[in-house]
Amino acid sequence: MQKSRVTKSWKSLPFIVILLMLPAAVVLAQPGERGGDFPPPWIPVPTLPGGLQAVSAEQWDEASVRRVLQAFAFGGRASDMQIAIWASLPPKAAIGQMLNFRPANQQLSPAEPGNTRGCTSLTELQTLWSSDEPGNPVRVFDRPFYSLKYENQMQLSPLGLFLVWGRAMHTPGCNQFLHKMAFYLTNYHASIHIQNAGVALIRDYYDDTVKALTSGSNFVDLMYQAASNGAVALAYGHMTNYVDPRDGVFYGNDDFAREYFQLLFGIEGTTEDAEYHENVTIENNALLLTGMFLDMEPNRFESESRFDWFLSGIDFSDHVDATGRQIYNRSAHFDFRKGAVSCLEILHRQICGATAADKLQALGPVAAAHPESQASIPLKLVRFFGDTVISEEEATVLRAAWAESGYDLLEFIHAYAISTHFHSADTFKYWSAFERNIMIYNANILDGQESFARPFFTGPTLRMFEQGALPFAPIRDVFGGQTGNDAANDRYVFKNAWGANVNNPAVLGAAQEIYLLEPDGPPQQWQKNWGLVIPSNIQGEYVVGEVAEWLWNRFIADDGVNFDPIARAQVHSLLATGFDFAAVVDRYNLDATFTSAEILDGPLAEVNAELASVRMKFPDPAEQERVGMAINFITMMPYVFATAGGVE
Amino acid sequence: MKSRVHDSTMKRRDFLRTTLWAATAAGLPLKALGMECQLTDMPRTLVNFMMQGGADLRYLFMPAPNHPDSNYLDLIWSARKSLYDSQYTGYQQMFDNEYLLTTDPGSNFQFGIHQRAAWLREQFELGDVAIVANAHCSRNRRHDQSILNADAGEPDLDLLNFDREGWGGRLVEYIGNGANSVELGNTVSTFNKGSIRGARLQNVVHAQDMRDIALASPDESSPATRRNILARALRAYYDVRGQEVAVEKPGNWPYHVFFQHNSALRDFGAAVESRLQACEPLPAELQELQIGSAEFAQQCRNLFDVCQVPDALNLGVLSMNYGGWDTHNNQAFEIGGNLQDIFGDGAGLATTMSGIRNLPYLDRPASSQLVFYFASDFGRQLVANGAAGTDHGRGTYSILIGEAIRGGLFGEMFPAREALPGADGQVPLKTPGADIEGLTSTERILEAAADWVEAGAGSAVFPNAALSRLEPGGALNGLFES
Repeated sequence: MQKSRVTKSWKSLPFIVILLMLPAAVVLAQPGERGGDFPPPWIPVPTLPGGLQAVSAEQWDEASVRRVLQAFAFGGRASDMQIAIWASLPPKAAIGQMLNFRPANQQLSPAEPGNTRGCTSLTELQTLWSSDEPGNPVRVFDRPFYSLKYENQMQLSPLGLFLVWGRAMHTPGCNQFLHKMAFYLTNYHASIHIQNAGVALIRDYYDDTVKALTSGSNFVDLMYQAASNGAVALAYGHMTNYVDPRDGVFYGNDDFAREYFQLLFGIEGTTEDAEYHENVTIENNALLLTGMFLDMEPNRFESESRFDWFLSGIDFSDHVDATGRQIYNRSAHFDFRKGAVSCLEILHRQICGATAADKLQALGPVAAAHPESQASIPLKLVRFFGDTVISEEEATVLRAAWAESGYDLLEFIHAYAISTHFHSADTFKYWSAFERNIMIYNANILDGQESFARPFFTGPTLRMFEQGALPFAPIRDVFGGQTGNDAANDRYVFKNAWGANVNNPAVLGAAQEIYLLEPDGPPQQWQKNWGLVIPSNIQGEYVVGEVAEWLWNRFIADDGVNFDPIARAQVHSLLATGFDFAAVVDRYNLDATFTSAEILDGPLAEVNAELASVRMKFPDPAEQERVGMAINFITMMPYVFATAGGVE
Repeated sequence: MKSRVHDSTMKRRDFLRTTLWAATAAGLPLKALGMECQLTDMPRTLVNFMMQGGADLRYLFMPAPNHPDSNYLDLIWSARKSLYDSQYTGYQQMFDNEYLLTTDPGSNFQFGIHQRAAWLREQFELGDVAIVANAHCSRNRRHDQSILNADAGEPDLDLLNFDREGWGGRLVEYIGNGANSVELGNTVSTFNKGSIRGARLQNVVHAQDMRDIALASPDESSPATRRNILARALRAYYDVRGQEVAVEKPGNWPYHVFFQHNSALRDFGAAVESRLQACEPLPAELQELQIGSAEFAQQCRNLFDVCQVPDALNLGVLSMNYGGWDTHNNQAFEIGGNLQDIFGDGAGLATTMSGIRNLPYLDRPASSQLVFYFASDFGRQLVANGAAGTDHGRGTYSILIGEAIRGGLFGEMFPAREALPGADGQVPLKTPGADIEGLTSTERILEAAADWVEAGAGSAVFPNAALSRLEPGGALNGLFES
């Protein structure tokens, strides 16, 4: 798409500023992730696992950085300056700063010091956000909705859980990459449903997964964490599986025994002898999954429902739990009397251990090394994060990269995220309603005050729900939540997204909010000021055409590739006048439509140019609302439903 | 129960003709007579009803206590006793409490249909239900692959690729003239998709809520509201740019689908909504339908409305679904609720079909034009597991319901071989892991169903049907009324 000369020169401004600031950027880079100046031509392209090739320094630009942030971190909350810095670093150095599993990532999601509290635990966040503690940033009106137990109910409520996850994903200070990975693992890969696991356990499962990620667990560790988690045992029902120690008879089901292989490790048994897989591997795995009963903690969460008392960490010994129940997890396990040499043949190997935990520890590496798993897991990851369609050639490369990554999720994701495969022109990824809505909120919410000042019902959770996406309630149950393909192929998702923007433009377009932080405290006021983040031109002006390009790139992040003349005319018109283009051209013919050719040439081109040259007056609230109108229009463009690669 | 109109001596068509003539003669506007609802006949329509999770239909159908093979009866009771209340002292008591004794009018064979499916049994006794035993829609026990097999109508497919057409998509392409596969549930499945890559939704209508199917459009009352400004801006963009990209961009451009959504919703939405407003309101019992699954209740309402405006949708085939059949634990509780919702007396289908039977029509009542085909991922194992549930199996029963069906049993309902040692010396009903042997490919069944929709469609939509398995003695050529 042709860009105007005005826009081109304006775009170079931040680049100049960054050049001036580069030494500071280098100082800010963390040990081991330093980038330095622009990479000189003699710096070799970094070696990546398998056959993956890193994009060159020339190809790595701000659009590349934004593409990565959208795909892997719900867009992230990094500033334009930070994005420019990352674009100036060698890709391998930048990616380490952008995507990591630290509890907080100030570069990806900056927050005021001390304001990242609770970001690694939904339980902690709910507890804080529903409290009247002085440090609680949530408006008073919203607090009860985040409560573990809504109003006076005697048991845990799912409402607060749904809301807290949606808010955490756009809360400054929370690491969106860490959470997107945890979301993938618990809602797609090793997925369970809240109706089967309950509120307490599924929240624990998520928090346990975040904890495992932040502590450096590799893929095999993470799958062990999932397979031995009480939430999974309850959801699949194998927590009550046991072998009667008197006669060795097995009581239980083989549900998770099958899905352990298929879902956690991608082993469907298609390369195995069918009878062996069904009657030996799966049936013996059912025997393995015995002695996994869950402990309870009395009055946990002050709930009266014993269902809420379950603990996600399983104690695999024979013991008495805190409620006084005798738990026979060791002696209810298969062939327990043999202790460490109690063995089961699974995947042609003897899997030994005294308890289910020991055997799961032994089985994980065997399953992960299975050829079907090696072939499947990297493609699952890439389909979720980066690419809807994977060619056979790409699959081969990705599998090789996975094999060389040593089950290190971060190494694999880093390599893929800076690879020519991810950044190639034919890569595209449809967004789920989770991804699209959270990215929109991350782009729209400018700071911590805005994040917490807006009422909870204007957050992404309600919109995601209306568009078929509710966290912890995956539409395919153990087969996972709404995918980008699901969302793209579902006309109701499109219709409801359209309805949300058209019928309630204030959700994304509000300019101010009055709220309370203490029940009897003074009213607080939040006011939107896009001028804080939208750069002015060299004359210190905010010109409609330039603001339009900036907004498009912030929300669509395609470097203006799809910002066609019709879209430009509408955005210019909304920003300059608050009205649609037809109303500006002829107020007596509001249903008029105009082609690209008409807008590029002739009288309409003059109208469009006139609109594009209008100076905006920030932070005038009326101007803020016009920006909001433009955002409502931009976030209902086709290009917000999918991303396409960049490098030809 | 047939409709009042259906039973009356003067058909609605004749009534309409008379009234229209009288109204015109009197110079009255039709609206004054409330006659805007444009009557049209339903085409013959298959409803693919997917029961996701792998339904244990052996739980739905059980042998009668007078089953001629007492050994079979003993073994099946032993194999599945744990699925039922432990208080039952024997098979007879269990059967009397759980099942409705049912007689196949053709063979006088007696068996039980679970009492939570009382409407199904009523339809069977009316001769409107065919049960095809020992059917199989896949050869594996994996949910994702098996559902894909069922949706594709290819039991032998072993490629897990969802970017492909389904048998619903193939059927509407055969019907032609822009006929659509209409999805009534929350998610468009592979079943609906067509064969043109990049345009698989070209002939799909997603009717998740028939009374809320239109895009938010500007209203004339207050053109300067933010709502109307945005609605106009978006409409103007999509309508014009959609035409441009259709020419400018290659077929595999990923954003085409969103322009297609706009045009599909705009073309159908307003027309369908306005047509429905002029037609019959939802019957109160359907509007207030209280069943376990709110989503299924909505599908039922959608089905009723589809039958009022099939022409507006260019209806070719329908798709419904009901999940929650993966009953590894506490099967009786889970499956009982499912059966009740779908097949129960006064529940989903009973209420819906009652409403549809009362709809006005021209030549053929809509109720006579619908045939439901019930599919699931796979069947479940014969022997209950140790968690009062059943694990994944393969073979199952196929069920077809409709006035066009020649009701009865096809294939051996409770195969004697299940109680006898097999080639491996194992007796299936005593062997954990054994399942119903799939002897009849669902391709055979669906071929017959597609031929009912349109002669010749069967072999075109299911080209492998003729070579697929068919249980000896289980001929399906009498499945539909001629």
